[in-house]
Amino acid sequence: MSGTEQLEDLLPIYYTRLFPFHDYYRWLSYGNSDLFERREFSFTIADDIYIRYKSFANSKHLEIEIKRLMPHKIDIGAIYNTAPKNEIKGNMLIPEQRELVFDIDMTDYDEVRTCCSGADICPKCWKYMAVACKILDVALREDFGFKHLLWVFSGRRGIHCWVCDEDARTLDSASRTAVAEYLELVTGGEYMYKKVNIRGENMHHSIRRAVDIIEPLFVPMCVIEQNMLGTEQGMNKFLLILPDETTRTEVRELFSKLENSSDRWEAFLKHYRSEINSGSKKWKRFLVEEIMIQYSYPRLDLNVTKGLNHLLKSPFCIHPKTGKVCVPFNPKSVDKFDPSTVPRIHELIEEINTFDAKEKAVQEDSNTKKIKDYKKTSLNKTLHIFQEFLRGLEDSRKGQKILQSDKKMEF
Amino acid sequence: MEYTRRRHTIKRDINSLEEIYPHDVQLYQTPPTGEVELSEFQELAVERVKVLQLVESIIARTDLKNSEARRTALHQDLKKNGFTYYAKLLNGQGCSSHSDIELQARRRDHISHFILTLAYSQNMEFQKWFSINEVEFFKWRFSGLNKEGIIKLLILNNFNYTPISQCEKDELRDLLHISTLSVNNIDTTDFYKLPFQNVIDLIRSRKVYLNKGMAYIPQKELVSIFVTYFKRHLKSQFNYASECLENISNDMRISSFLKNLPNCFTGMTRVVWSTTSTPIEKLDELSQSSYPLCMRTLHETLRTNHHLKHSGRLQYGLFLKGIGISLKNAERFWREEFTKVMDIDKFEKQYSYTIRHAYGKEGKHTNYTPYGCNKIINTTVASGEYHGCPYKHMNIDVLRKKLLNIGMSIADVQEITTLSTGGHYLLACTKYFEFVHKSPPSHTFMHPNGYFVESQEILTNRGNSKADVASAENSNRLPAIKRQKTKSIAEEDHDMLF
Ligand code: SF4
Ligand SMILES: [Zn+2]
Repeated sequence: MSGTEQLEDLLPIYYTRLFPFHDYYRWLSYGNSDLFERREFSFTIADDIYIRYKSFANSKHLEIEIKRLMPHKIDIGAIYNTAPKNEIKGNMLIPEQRELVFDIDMTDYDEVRTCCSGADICPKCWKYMAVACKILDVALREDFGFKHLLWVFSGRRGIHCWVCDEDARTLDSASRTAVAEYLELVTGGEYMYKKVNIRGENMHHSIRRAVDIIEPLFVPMCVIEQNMLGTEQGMNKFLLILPDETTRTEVRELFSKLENSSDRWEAFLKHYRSEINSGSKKWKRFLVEEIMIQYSYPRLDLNVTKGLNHLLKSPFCIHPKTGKVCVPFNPKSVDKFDPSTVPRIHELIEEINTFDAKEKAVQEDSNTKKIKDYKKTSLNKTLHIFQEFLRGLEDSRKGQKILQSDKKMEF
Repeated sequence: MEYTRRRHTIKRDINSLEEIYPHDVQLYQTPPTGEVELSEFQELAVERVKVLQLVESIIARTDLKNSEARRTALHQDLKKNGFTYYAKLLNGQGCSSHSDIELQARRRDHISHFILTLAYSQNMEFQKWFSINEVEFFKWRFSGLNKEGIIKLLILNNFNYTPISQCEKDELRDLLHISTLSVNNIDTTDFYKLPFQNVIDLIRSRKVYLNKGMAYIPQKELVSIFVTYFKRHLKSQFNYASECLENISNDMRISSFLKNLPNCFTGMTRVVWSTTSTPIEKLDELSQSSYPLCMRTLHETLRTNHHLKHSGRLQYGLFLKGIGISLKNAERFWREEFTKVMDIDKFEKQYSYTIRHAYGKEGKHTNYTPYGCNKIINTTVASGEYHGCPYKHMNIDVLRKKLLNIGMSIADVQEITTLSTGGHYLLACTKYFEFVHKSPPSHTFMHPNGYFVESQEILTNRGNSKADVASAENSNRLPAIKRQKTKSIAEEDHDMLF
């Protein structure tokens, strides 16, 4: 952003005119103001002062406090047994509910991406995020039966997923851990080269489905674009995954005769398949799948998912470094999502100003109704996504109420 | 649960006992009623502690390959030590017979379980120790049940699960086939369908088919329902029990007995706290002379990268705490290293909190305990991370290179890598100890801090004898470290917050 120092000047306008307090409350109250009241918020305000255990009786109080403190960052915590602000010592606070959350950060892909590293991202590596989103979204819906997933761009180099179904919110920490581990396939530290191991005779349906998602993308994305086998370094990394020295030598041989990444990958596949077909015991079944997973399957930050009281950056926050809004996005069109076009705070405010200036010009002759400020900006589109998500939540609550009253009628 | 001291025992007839205890395995849903004499109360409690200690030692044995072998070994141990009632329980099939001794065994099981829940509710570490061993004991007992015994247990505990219909099974045939890990022929087994939260062990290891939140589990995995339930139940029992423990504190005899009970046990998995302080200037030297390889690796990584990720910081930081690094020195140690790659401001903001937290100075003020080998071995390690147990988490080639660099002979390295590929991580670690010290440890350890203490004992003794012969060499030794009987294991994740 052209000057983070502007943030202090822009935040008041953002919180006054754009932050969607109303819908935000619609979300976090889940139709029950008591749930909202017991929710922990934490603010990072100017000079990096960090305030935990804030809670608010209603949307108005939240709004007043946000406008007073102008937080650079807002984190959302758990719903506790009692309103956290009443119990500052933190001892008697027992977290009771919490969305099931996932955090995927580009920095965890540094061992597989070659285009960028650290905090940098580009359209090439953003594809890993798209793959992660697709794989997790379908697994959470199909395998676990969750319906209300809010996907959010984290403002810089990652994505978050908030699973908001009541069944998800009420999971205990052991169950969250189980979900996280079920979804985690790439394991092993800096000292382990082969990080994926598919056990058993068959491939679990969830792994099969993930492989089906990865397969068509693998060559264009990993082999070609990331140039997986194009460099000495890349080849060495790859060879280490292979079962032993013999197989490594075989493949090294093959590679040395070829020029580029995709030819090498092709050659490896051919070699592997013919070995397997001839019944060679040196090679493991599912090795190709394991490799594809290792190079592209989502990396999850498990600690974020496991606990109930982990704080996670709120949607619609402004990322303090990039000035970008943490916007919700639609997982179905994640391929089209481009983090570089995510609105930045100063752009939004310019948009309002431009709109208002035009409006003023025409105001003389028409008595137009007052238009909501966000509608004047590129935030409009994401708010639609958010509102659609909220409608989903509200509809299923209505559905439940009808079910319940039906049950009562029976008596 | 009420405990009275009045001498008044109710003679129960066998019939009513059979009504109360219809099954060899129980989930301890209701506390015992009636009265127990103080002497019996104590006898039952001590007996169970000893049984759980046997369980603990069986868990630690790497030579036993599967749960059947462990069950047999435990049965032998129980008989050898005269715990006839528990040997009986372990081999119980469920509800096929109800002899007098079986009923007495079930009663002892029931009462003693509840007494221990009280005694072990005192702190997190006791709770962990108790849960781990109770759960394992439970699993082995469950595996001895016959089909009737399992079904009866489901009914007794109101787990109203029925197998899915043939029709549903036919529909799902392919999916069940590819996603059920432990069953080859799905036609010969019944499948049960239940919410995934009820069988989390099977979910986390991706062992069963899962659809729309429902897990489809084969007959032979039914134990998972009970284990999942049992773990949750224990947790909530502890909350209640710790309140009870407060309330009975007016009876000195019982309360002091209960409070001291967990301290009577001895176990190898316990942390051995160092009673003397260790200066941080010594760490480089110590990392070579007295650290197990897991900590040596972390130390060296920290020195070269000037950074460690969260779990690495925790594993190493708590170890340092255990060997007697004060909070002040720990902060200095991490600061000096981290600020080589970041400014002090960032360090203070992002990292110093965790360090103080580990020393119980921030957050929940929990006093965290150094991790034991079991926890370290079972931890997950992601890329960019260096923690864990090298014998398990290091690629064999890397391990080999590392050991060769340290100066180990090819034969020794070979021995260690064979042990570690065979899953005998602790034996591999002991072998490493032997190499470094040119002598084996005098006690078995299952804890990095135990390793450290063993090492220091050897080095100190050597230092002493050298001093005796007035050797000119400066032995640079540290003051002797005493074994202390205070803390116990910290096995599972009790530190979600971290
Ligand atoms: S066995 Fe224990 S002490 Fe030895 S390296 Fe592994 S974790 Fe460390
Ligand atoms: Zn990139």
